[in-house]
Amino acid sequence: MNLPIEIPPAWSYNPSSWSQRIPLIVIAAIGFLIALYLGLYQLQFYPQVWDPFFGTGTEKVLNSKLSRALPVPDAILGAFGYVLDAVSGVIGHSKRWKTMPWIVILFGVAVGPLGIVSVFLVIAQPVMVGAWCTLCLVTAVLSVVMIGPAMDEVLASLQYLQRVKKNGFSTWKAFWGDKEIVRNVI
Amino acid sequence: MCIGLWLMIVPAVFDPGKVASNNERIMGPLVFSIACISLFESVRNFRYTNILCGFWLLVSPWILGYAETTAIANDMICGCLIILFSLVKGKVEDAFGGGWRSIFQEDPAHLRESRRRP
Repeated sequence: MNLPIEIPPAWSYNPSSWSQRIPLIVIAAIGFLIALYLGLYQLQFYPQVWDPFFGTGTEKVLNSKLSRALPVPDAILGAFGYVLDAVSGVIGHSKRWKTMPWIVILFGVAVGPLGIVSVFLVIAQPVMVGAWCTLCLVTAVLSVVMIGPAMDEVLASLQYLQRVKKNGFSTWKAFWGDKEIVRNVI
Repeated sequence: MCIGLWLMIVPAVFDPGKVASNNERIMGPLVFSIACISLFESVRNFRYTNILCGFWLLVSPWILGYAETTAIANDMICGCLIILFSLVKGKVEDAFGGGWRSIFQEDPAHLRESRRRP
């Protein structure tokens, strides 16, 4: 009896199910490892960095002014972003679109901007630096691929909050997972 | 997606001059990303954003004053194809409670469905 209720009304599947979320968590984990590898190079833990296609391209990109514009190297920030993606992807059970809208929205907010920033960095590589970086491109593709499949869960949560409002309950309380509202609103 | 990738590579193939290269290097990743996101059914309508990109590729050779004829032809053909492919909806097999537009509707599908459940 539990299973069908996990599917949001008028949906054909449950966007918060583990089969939907695990691939995203895996992608975020891979992205984290690559970004960490690049970031540690930027922090000078090792003198060289692997690039099968563009030779010293990766080094040019990672040492560019843009990459070092902030106090923290950009790949370290990227690694942090992937951690946020993975953690907010793991937290909560398979009904979290309803019981924990805040973590779903946080997940969406973490995935969206990370992807947008990496698209910007892909543009910046040839236009502003004049070099390409293989692993940076890989992480960019990973973070763009995550956007599409992450957004369905956000949509389910937003629709739930909409139903909460139409039923006269507090959207704010429901956002934080108020148990009474969860019991009353489908 | 392939057109986006092509736009990223094309400056290296043809050397169409700085302005055209930069325009292609900016539009390439954008077109690629929008296409990549729209692959997923719940955000399929995001594909319409690429029509804007296609339109820009049609007019930008003239606005930016491309020097090379090949670059003008290339970008305009890419623009046409992007617009064309953005209009193709493709298969959507899952249901999403009325989709993103439901959030702005008075009586969306998911609300009607929730009333029917006990």
